[in-house]
Formats: sequence, C-alpha cells, structure tokens
Amino acid sequence: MKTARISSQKSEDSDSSQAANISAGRTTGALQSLGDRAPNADVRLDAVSVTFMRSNGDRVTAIENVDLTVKTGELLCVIGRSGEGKTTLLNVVAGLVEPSEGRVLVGEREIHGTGADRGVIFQGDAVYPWMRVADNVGFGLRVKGVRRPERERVVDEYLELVGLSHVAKSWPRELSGGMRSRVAVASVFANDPEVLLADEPFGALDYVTRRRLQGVMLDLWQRTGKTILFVTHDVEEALLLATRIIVVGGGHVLDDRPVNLARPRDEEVLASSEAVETRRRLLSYLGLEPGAGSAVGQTNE
Amino acid sequence: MQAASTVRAGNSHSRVRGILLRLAGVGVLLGFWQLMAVLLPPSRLVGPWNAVSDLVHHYNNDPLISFFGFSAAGYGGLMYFTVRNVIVGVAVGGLCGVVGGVALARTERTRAATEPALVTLGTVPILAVMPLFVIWFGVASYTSVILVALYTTILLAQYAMRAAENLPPIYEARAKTCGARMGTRVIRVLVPGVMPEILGGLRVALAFSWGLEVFAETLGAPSGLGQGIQILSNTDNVQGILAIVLLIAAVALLVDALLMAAARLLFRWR
Amino acid sequence: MSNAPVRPLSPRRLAGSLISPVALRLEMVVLLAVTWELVAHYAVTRIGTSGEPIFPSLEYLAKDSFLQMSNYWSGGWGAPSPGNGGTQTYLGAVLALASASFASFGRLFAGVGLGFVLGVVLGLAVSASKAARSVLSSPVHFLRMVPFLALAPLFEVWFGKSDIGAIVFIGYGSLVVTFVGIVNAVGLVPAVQLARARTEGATRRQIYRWVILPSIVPAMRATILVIIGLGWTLDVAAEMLGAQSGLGVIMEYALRFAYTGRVILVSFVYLVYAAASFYAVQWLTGWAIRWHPSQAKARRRRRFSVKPALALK
Repeated sequence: MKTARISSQKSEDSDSSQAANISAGRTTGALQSLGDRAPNADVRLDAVSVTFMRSNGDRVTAIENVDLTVKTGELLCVIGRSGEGKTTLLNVVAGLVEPSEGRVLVGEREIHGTGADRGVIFQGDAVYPWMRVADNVGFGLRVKGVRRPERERVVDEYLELVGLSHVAKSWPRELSGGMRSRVAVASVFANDPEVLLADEPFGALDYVTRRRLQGVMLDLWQRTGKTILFVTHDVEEALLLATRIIVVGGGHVLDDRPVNLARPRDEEVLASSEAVETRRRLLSYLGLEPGAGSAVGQTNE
Repeated sequence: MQAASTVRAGNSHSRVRGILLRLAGVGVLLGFWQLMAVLLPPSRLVGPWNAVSDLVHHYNNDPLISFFGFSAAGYGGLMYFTVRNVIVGVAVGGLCGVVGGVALARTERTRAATEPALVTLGTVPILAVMPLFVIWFGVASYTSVILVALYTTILLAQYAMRAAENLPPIYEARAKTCGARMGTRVIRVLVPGVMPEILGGLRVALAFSWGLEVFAETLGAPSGLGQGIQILSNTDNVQGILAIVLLIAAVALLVDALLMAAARLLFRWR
Repeated sequence: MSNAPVRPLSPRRLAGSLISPVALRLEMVVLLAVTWELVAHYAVTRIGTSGEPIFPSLEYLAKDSFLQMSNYWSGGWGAPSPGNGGTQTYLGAVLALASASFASFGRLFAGVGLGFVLGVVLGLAVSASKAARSVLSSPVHFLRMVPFLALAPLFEVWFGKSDIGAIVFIGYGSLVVTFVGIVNAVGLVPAVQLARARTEGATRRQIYRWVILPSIVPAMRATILVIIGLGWTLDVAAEMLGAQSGLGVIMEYALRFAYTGRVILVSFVYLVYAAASFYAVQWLTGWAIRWHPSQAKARRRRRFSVKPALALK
C-alpha cells in the first residue's frame, strides 16, 4: 500500500505524458509493421462445453454448447455475473482450459493448449517481480528467441506507448498498481499475438487509474487492429470499449449485440438514447433494474 | 488464480490414485531400507522388520537397560521420561515465549533493545550450552527440560512477535472504538489473532525438541531414550538404536498429529 | 521529527539519547556483563570438583580459561605443546582454537553445501512430476519427523569416528530440509505466473529457467539460512559424540573433567561462529532477492512505521 502511495505521484506524471502521446497520434515504426497483421484472426467457438468436476464429485457445467465468432479486429466485451462462465470462456480461447466438447478455432486452425498467437492480460498480478520492467515486457520475445537488439527496440516502443519509458529499469515492486497493469498491457502487445484476451484486467484499480488504462487499451487497439476478447463485470467499461457486447449467464450466451456508438465515446455519446437503452438492457441481465436501487438487495449475489 | 485451473477428469478417481501413490511411497522407503539391510552386514544395519520386532520385545523389558540400573527397565519406560520432559519443556518455554513475544511487539523501546539479541539467539545452536547446563545443574531430569524450554522460548518469542506485528492494526482499533478495555482486547482480539501463526512455531519447536531432548539425554540424564541410545551404541547394538529411533519418530508423528487435530478444532474459523 | 536546530546538551536530551534503540542495545550488553560479574564475584563463588570456579568471572574466562586452550595444541608454529611438557602460551591457545575452528568450519560447509546442492537438484527433479511428488511425500514427511539429532549415534556406527561421518550427517539433515523447502516453494509459485508464461509460448524448459527458478530464489535463501543454523547444531552433536578434531572435541573433553571455564568459552565460540555465518550468508545473498517486494518494505519500515495506538489517540 505504502509503495503504491509513494509512486502515485510518478504515475500521474506518466499519465499526462501518455495522454500527450495519444493526442499527438504518433505512429511508430514497430506499429506500422504490426498494422499489416495476418488477414484472418477470427476466433470461432464451435459448440463448446466445459464441465468441471468438484472435489465432492459433483459435475459443474461452466459453459454449455456455446457458438461464438469474434471477427478479426473486433473488440468484444464479455459481461456477466461472477461465477457464470466469463472467465472459463476466455480460458478456453487462451488454451488454459480444454473444452470438454466442441472445438475452438483461430483463423482456420483448431487450437489445443496455449500459444503465443493468443496473448492474455490476467486478472491477477502476473508481472514477474524478479524481472525489471523492460525484461517483463520483453519476456514473450525472449521466449521466441528474438535477439537482444530487436527485443530492446520493440520493448522501448511499447514502454513509450504506455508511458513507462522512465521506469524501464525499475523493479515491479517500485511501481504502483496502475503502472504494473500498464506493464502487463505492454507485455502482451509487445508479443504481437493475433488475438488478445483480457480477464478483468483493471478490476482491482481505482476509478481514475482504470479510466486512464482503458484509454491506453483503446489507443493500442486502434493502432494495431487486434482482435480483442475483453471480459469485464463493469457495464460502463464495456460501453466505453466494445464494438460488440455479449452477455454470459448460466453457461450460455444470453445476449449478443453490436455497439455502434461513435468514438471517442465521451459523456455525450454515453448519454445518447442508444447508449442508455443498451445500458438498461445490460443491467437487467445482471439483475439490476435501473432506477430501482432497492432491487440490489433482492439479487442472489 | 482461476486462470490457470486446468481441468482434470474424474476427481474421485484421482483421489484413489493419490492414496495408492502415497502407499507406494511407504513401500519405496521400506524397500530401500530392506535392500540396504541385505547389502550391509547386520552389525551396520538391520531391516525394518527386525527393528520393529526388537522394539516390541524390549518395550517393557530390556536386560541391557535393566543392567545399567535405570528405574525404567524397557524402551517404554525410557520413552515416558523423554515425552514428559519434551512436553513440559515445550509448554513452559512456549508460554514464556508467547507472553514475552507479544509483550515485546507492543512495547517499542524494550523491543528495540532486545530484538537483535533475540534474532541472533535464534540462529545459534542452543545445543552447545547443554554441557554447561550439565555442569551447573548436574545429571538431573530437569537439565534437559531447561534446554528444551530455553530453545522453545527463543523460537516462540520470535513467532509471537511477528504474529502480533502482522495482525492488522484495524482489528485492535475496531475493538477500541467499541470501547473494549485493554484486557478484553488482549483476550478477544490479540490472542485469537496471533494463535494460528504461533501454532506454526509450536509445531517447529516440538519437532526439533525431540532431537534436542534425546541428544541432551545422551550427554547426561538419569533416564530417557537418549540414555537408551547411548547404552546401546556403546555395545554397537544397531538393531536397538534403530528400534528407539523408530519409537521417537512414531511419538513425534503422533504428537504432531494430535496438535494439528486440536488446532483444527480450535481454529475452525480459519 | 528531529528538524530542530542543534542545541546544547540538556539533561532532557541526554536522557533521550540514552533510550535510543542503539544505546539500549549497548546498555543491554553492559547490563548483562555487569550482572554476570556480580553473580561470579558475590553470588556463586563455589569452586567445582575440577578446581575451577563453577561460575567463572569474565576475567577468569579471558585469562585462565583462554590460556588453558593451549593444552589442546599439539605443538609447532612457535608454540610448545603443554601435553608434552611445554608451557601454556597465548599463541598456543590461539593456534589450538584456530585449528579446531578450521576443522569445524570445514565440516559445516562441506556438509551444508553437499546437502543443499543435492536437495535443490532432487527437489526440482521431483517437483517436475506430480506422481513422483505423491510417491515421495509420505517417506519425506517421515524422514522430516525423525529427529536428526537422535540419528547421530547411527551415523557414528555407520561411518566410525571420521570426518566423513560428520559431513554425511550434516549433509543428510541439510538435504532433507532443502528438499522439503524446494518442493514446497515450487508448489507455491503463483498459478497466474505460470499461466502467463504458457500463454506467451514458453516451453517447459523455459518456464523452469525463467519463471520457477527465479521465483523460488527467496525460498532457497531462507532454506540456506535455516540449514546453516541446523548445520551448526548437527556439527556440535557430531563433534561431541566422536570426532578427532574440532571445537566439539575440546568441549567434550572439558565436560568430562567439568572444566566450566573452557566449556563456556567453547560454547561462546560456537554461538559466535553460528551467528556470524548466518549474518554473513544473509548479507552475501541479499542481492539475489533485491527484486522482492519485502525488500522495499524493509527499507521503508523505519520511515513509515506508524504506531496504531498513537494514530488512534
């Protein structure tokens, strides 16, 4: 906690420099090459079910017979209540969980197990504490056997894009929670996956930091055009980021709707009638009737 | 954490497999022991079965031990002495250590003065002062108890201090805002809060105390398994030594299991 | 707090400096020494059967007992051997202690080093296989619960009164503790860190090298510190039960004739060595965990320590 408080000053500095980067719309060399990505990075789930076995022997179906296609370049947000299959859905695509039935395809390939073609930003803190910030961002490249000069070039690019160049040589423990999240985001983008998966990556951050990181994420997505599957429990976050939102509940896809709001999605856009209507629908799926605060107590959370 | 949960089919199946693997482990240990016993002459090592049968035969009466005039004529009697000493030593030392450690954690000055000494004492072989105790207190039953108690005090004082430090301050603050007095805060908040961590220290202390007690006994004691080992090793009776070692291990495992069972009962809220 | 300008020494400031942590520590040492002297001179003045005081004073320890250490010097390097009719010399005492210390340190580091290296290799190998972990869990738990010190006579029977016996004994204890420590630490590597490595395409080998190994470094360091302490205890035991050289031999001899002064002196040397080797290893290995979050906390603890009780008032 103390560490976080100490570095929050630094964090804010870097945030303003970050904002400057984005507004200047600077495109860097590495990103131009990343722009020419593989033409087909569609993610397709084909009748996928995942069944777990509890320790007492009960079978639990986390997701059941899900068909879903995420088109190349889409930013799909997955929302739903906790424990109803969001994370499992993401883990199946990541290859961390094998489907009990059905298959998962990326492009034309059926996938089994994890692979560097699908990068994950985890819910927990997966930044390696024993690697300096730059080494953390370059980890995936090192795994691939990319040579040091090339690695350093890419790492520098992404550290600058997320506004962390000044702490490249720091240990993660010297960073605030928000800065560590940026390291995680930069690490995944630096590895240049075809598909990017994010599991409530900013859930543990305070409101201001979360808003800033959403900005960083949007910026990187717009520059690289990656396919992104973004799991969140926050309806506002989904409205801000998504090109399309699905609602998962009880192991099924309950709703699937495009979000055609204009960008940048400022307060005005998010207050438009279309946004209000979408928000109302989404909240009702989560068991929250808008305008009825007392209803919160009646949900079985 | 969820992210890395991998699916494993048939959990009840895998539990059976786990038990079988553990049994196989016991078999591996016994098999290795038996194999070494076959390869080595009986003056160096005997098999597990011989050691167990020696233990059974001499539990109540061992001519060699009676010959040396101990009141206890078998391993069982020697064991009673050792167990009593360890329990008394760990109990006394544990109480001193916990009270002292918690008090130190809450009194800044005394703690600043004593903490480095305490930490340093925790790193040194307390066993090295046993000869001095033998000279000072003689070959008495309480000499080794003092050693065990000293060791336990030093260890548990450190555990208690760390536990009291790690207890979130808001727990005591909340009790204070509810108007709880000092005594209530200690009994209702501090003690239950630090107990689980102290239990870990108690386990460590207990596990090491068996060896400490037994070795202290070999240096000078009126009875105990350590004296038994000493007598048997003077006559190169490997079978007897192994039997006593098995007995100590069995007692240590049993007491540890009892402690854990008691802890599960006490700390159900964990 | 202390941004006040320099003032002349007032009684109040003097009192304040007397209760600063460092001063308190020094005062503790002085208090202990004074108490010891008072007890030796006034409370316990009895002379034991060996003709030595049962509670020797510090000056007796420093002069007489220390000089008597030369009895354990076998001659050479300009110091005669009192055992062969020579006189007791301080040089002889220093040489006797030094050679005994050399033997003890040699055994300790050989045993601890051997046990640690084998323990790490075996621990990592077993961690790689879930089945191997299950098979070995109960035997290792059993071996962990067999008190090491109780095994000392067995090692004496197996290896005789030799250096090898002592080294193997210390090595065995270190091996078991290290093995348990490593297997535990590998099991505690956060699942999310392993998952990240997998999703970035790391192979099993790369995961071991870049994730598991660095992640268990703090546990390895903690294990080394534990086995240094354990190693000294086992060393004391092995030397007192039967060794040809080392501090324990002097101790055993002094105990047999109830030479209190020498027993105290040797115990003290043991304690100093154990503490010194612990702190030396702790200091030398500090760089290996400089990345660890606990390091930041340790450095900032003084600056940020807030007394909860004070904060509430």
